[in-house]
Amino acid sequence: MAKADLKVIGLKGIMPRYVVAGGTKIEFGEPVHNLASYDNDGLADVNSIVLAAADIPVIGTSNFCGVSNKTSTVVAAGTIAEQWLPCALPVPDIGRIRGLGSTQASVDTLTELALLIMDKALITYNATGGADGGEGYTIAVTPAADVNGLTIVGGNTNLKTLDVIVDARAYCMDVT
Amino acid sequence: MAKADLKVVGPAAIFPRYFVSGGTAIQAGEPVHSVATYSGGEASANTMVLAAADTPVIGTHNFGGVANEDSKNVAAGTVAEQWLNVATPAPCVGRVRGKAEVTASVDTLTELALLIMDKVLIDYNSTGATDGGQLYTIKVAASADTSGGTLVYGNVHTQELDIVIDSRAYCLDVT
Repeated sequence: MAKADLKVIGLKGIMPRYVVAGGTKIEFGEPVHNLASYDNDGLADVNSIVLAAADIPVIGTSNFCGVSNKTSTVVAAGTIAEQWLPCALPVPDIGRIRGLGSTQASVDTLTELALLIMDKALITYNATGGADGGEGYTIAVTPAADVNGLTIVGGNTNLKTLDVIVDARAYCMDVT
Repeated sequence: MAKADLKVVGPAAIFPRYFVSGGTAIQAGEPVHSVATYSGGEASANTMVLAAADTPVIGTHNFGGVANEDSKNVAAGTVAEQWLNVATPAPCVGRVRGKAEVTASVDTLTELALLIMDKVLIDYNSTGATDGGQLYTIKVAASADTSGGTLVYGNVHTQELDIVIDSRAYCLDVT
């Protein structure tokens, strides 16, 4: 776990998200998503969110649910308690998520940064990338697919941070 | 008609929507949409109307939002031509809040939790209000993936439900 890996900048909403007991503890600043699928009946087969344990958001694979706005409460075992966890959701295509570049040496000059602008990106998940050995989340500096749900729109070469916006389709699975 | 059936919570824009004269009077808190279809980019209908069906269905309705004021009406009680201020929630982030269609279905966390992330609609009941007019609630039963609301939150004490609006519900002719 790593606190404040990601921040939400600009237009956003704060929304309580449902979390069931037993999952990995969520620190504020960590991304969450929902892995429900739908079978033409509108029914979600999963009703809760979880801490991202993969690069996200991939359009059509998960429902992006924002960035945690507080640290989750936990049970004695250290896993999460059932709760409504406030999450910050950037308005699609307008609000931004800010995080360190996954390879900071790739974003320390304007020439490098400029080559990334408008690229489709993901939040990179590193299971042991946090300063405490827990998960770390950064912004991928290498685009992989057009179905990546983020678009790089800015950055800071001094801080090696990148800003991304979220595609509306990344909030909604079953979108073609 | 029923006042304040629905509320918009969180990021939203208030903007004027065009209504022609003659439609059903609109109370603040009632949902409006357009049923225009497109050919060559031209809308077959240029006006919003009070929803008279479960809404928003992706590919059928252009969701307009929730009326932020009562409509001005002519003597007959129908809508006068006007620009009516409507609250339009930011897609996927702003929320529409309303009573559950069946309140007994959301009075425990166990019941509510099973509805989270389901695709649902705003329910239209033409005579459900206390004055015998239309009533709008949030459906508690999902029916199709094309339902333009996603249930994200609720209050088991007030039996209210919150939905976010799919960006595609604002845009007809999007597949």
